[in-house]
Amino acid sequence: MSSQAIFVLFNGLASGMAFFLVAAGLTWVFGILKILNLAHGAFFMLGAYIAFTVGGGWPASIWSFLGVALIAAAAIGVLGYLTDQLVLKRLRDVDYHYALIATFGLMLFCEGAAKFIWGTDYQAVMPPPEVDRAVVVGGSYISVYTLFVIGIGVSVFAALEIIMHRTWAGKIMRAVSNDPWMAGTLGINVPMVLMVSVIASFALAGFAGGILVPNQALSPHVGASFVLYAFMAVVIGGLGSIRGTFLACILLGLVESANATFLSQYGGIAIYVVLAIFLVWKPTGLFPAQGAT
Amino acid sequence: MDQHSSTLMQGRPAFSSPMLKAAVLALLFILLLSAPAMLNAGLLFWVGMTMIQAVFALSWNLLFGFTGLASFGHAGFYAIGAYFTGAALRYDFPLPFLGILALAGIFGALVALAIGVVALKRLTGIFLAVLTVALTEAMAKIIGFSPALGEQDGLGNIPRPIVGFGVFNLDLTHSNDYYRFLLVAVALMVAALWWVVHSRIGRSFRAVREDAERARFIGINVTRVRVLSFMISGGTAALAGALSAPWTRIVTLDQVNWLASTQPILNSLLGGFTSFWGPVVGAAVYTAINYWTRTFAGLSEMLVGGILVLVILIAPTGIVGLLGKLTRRIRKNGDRT
Amino acid sequence: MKRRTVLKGFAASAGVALGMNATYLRAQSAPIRIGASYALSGVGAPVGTQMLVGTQIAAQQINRAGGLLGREVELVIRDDKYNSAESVAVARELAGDGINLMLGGSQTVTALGLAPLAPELNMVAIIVAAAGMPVTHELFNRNIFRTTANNYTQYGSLGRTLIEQNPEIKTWISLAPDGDFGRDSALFFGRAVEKYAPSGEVTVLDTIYAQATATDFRTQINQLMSSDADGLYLGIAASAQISFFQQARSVGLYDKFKAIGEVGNGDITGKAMGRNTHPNLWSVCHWLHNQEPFASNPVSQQLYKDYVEMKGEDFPSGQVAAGHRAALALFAGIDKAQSTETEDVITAMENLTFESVGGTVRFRPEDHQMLGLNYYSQMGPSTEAPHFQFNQVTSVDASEMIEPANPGQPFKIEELSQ
Repeated sequence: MSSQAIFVLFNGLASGMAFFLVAAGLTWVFGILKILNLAHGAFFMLGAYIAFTVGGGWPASIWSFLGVALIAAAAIGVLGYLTDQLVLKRLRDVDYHYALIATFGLMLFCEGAAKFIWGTDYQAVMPPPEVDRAVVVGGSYISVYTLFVIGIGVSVFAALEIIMHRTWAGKIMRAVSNDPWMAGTLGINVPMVLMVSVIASFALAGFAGGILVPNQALSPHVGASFVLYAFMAVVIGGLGSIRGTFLACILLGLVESANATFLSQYGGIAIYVVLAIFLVWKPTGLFPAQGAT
Repeated sequence: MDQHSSTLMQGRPAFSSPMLKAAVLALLFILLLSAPAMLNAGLLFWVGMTMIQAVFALSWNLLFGFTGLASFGHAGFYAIGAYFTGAALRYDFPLPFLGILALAGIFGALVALAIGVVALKRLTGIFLAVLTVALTEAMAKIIGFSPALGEQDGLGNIPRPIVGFGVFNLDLTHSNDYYRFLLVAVALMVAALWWVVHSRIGRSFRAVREDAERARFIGINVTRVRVLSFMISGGTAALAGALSAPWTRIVTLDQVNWLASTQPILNSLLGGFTSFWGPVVGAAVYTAINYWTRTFAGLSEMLVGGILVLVILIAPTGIVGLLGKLTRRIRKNGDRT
Repeated sequence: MKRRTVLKGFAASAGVALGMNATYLRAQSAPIRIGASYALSGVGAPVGTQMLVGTQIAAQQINRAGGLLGREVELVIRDDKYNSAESVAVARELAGDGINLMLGGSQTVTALGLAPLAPELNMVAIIVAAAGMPVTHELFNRNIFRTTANNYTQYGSLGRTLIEQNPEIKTWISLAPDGDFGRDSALFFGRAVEKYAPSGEVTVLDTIYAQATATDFRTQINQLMSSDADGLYLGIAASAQISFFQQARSVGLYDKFKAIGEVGNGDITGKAMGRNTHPNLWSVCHWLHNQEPFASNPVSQQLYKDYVEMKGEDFPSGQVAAGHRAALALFAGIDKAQSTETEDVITAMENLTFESVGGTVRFRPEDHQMLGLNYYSQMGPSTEAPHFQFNQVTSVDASEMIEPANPGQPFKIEELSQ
């Protein structure tokens, strides 16, 4: 393989896994609540800020870095519980467009709140020292931190796969996702499952914030750059399908990376073309959810 | 068909006696017409923008509220009109201004036709929403790479037009003159949309929204109706954009992103999408909120966001719906006494 | 800005308003109302809020000294949201409110909306910090004055500074945002490097482009790492620049590039990167209170003193001086005209000379472009908080680097004789 191709591959995987870390929570909550949470990126951003506040700009080690990301996950999970109680729970039985607008309002509110709490100055967090260097693969410079992100992304995917398909909790989740009414008549505590899903989705956003914060400058707008890709991945993957979202993220990452390398004068366009083609070719995504319309 | 109209009646607020409505509209038109004499230039600018946003929101709601399709990339149509008109005026296309406006609307409708033919057969709901977002973002990228359209900086220094009517010329260079032109144009467009909604075409839109299967059963070509609605909506949005270019005198990429696309959605839901006038009310209220919060730099996002969440939780049928509920309650109380 | 300072800012602006009312009776007549439109939200906010502070201090200073023409100066502050349509709305609102003097255009996007509007609104508009060439060329009109160096002068001077300070670097490259401004600044930088290279033997490689608001620069970084260059001009600004440094540092770009000249983030990058700041990073510099020649300049000393008093912080951003300078220019113009009428102020400002934090500056009458010394700072990491420091400041006289005035016509570098 040429050095360029190696670079495109690694860079694409790294971007794809970054997208996936953000998209995982999004697709989960979509699968179960049928809500496209526009505020997901804002909670990702809050997670990044919390990680910065707790851990500072120079993580001492990879373990403290991961610990801080888990703290961010827990904090955003708590916010998820509050959001669910105050907002989302009241919108369960109404047209999904209302939830869309409500989450849009939440997004604005969170960005405003972040500015109020942390100010508008940019901040930067460095990768933990163990991964803060580069390896040269076939003439291309690849940062070890991006390999670390790839590893975390794959781990999160594996964990979600095991939870969803190998555990009792996952079976309940899938039952509620497929047919909440039927699940309810079978004695499953549906409201509880929905609440847990929201908390888990938010916690995943917070975790992603903690892991990806060394990736780029920290500002109240940091969520926007990831979340649009995450939306696209969720749609291409098939709404609510974690497997589909994972594959879609890799695809989008590779397309974006190849676009930047081979067609740099038109950077950022290919990803939209691919999405449009996919929507027309496979309107219900790679792994259509049962009952999705 | 009877059942459809009965569901419509439910959505209609109770205070809508036709005479009262006509009187309110006439009063509003007169007020807006005399606005240049009463308001300072800055407020007048906002009033003009609100009228444009109202038409933009109406165009979106024609699609959503009346045909049941949600576009999340409506800013794309708006931008087609705005950039086309901006470029035509800036580079002195040999076309009369009314011709430019007409072409802008036609372009919007043609793009909608192209998207509709390819996508509307297969896509509805969230998929259509995401497709429209993607196309709009792609368009923003392409504009960003086009030097003639100002790339990232936007297309600035757009001159205001002089409209030729053969015998006489209408000079719209001054803000007040362009404002009056804008008001008349907006009024005509609102009237046209009102006619569409209340015509046979509008009834077929609603039939498709209520139940596409049944509409098909009674002989309505669902895809064709959807494409037609998409075309009218896209053309109107492009016209709104076209009217905005000489008003702001600059068109930028801020008007082409997905946040810009959410503006008509917010206005429609805020005002109430079940009513024809809801988006207009929403646009006015949204501008008012923005205007009042403009001096709270740094807090305005929190206020606007918080208000939106509250509106959805407290008044999900929008302001018009809330008003309708209130008047119904008052009437009921009145009947009792 | 921290929450505390936001609150203080509110208190301060409220105080300005209240103070106006209290002192209103003392003044001979109504206050002189001046519009101040900066990006206070949106991506331009980190820069815009600092500039506003400088403008507010300038207004306080002039009011302490008895006001202008015996009248109090009152700022009418607005947020242009880093959005050209919004800046247009703000200017119209201010004009409708009877204001004919304003500061705005803190960035190119807002300046492009504001500039063509000034004659229609019969305003004097000070373009605070937008460097785009059109402002004093094809968009030129008599009502606008620019109080910052233009793109050609600024980045030509930066290129000259870098090659003169780092003559051992023989191969240069640029990473610039795709767009007029980015392409031009990289071109001007490269031309100046070639022109001012002491030995004459330098190579300037083809510019690499990225999107101005990109968040992932790995592809461009890989291209830079694979190039032969060891000197870099970085045209990417704001948060994108910090993302670039974050991603570049961990693949060893700091070791490869011996010197970097950046577009103008200055301490914004330093504060974010701290001890991971590139060791030889040159920036466009508006002000560094503790470096010569600023340290011994009385205007600078007073600005620093007032800043500390107002904000309770002792490390002001250089952008504060940009907002301060723009306000001083307008105040000096009003004072010279002895009038607040648009036409009088324009006439007075065309040949105006005034003192800023960086010494004497003046306007070029033909195209209303400010001329003076342009400063460039070099920074690097430090072991003490805030973990970065400015090591030196150099200057280039703008009149040596500026293009001939050609108002109304687009600037074309090919038409300049070398």
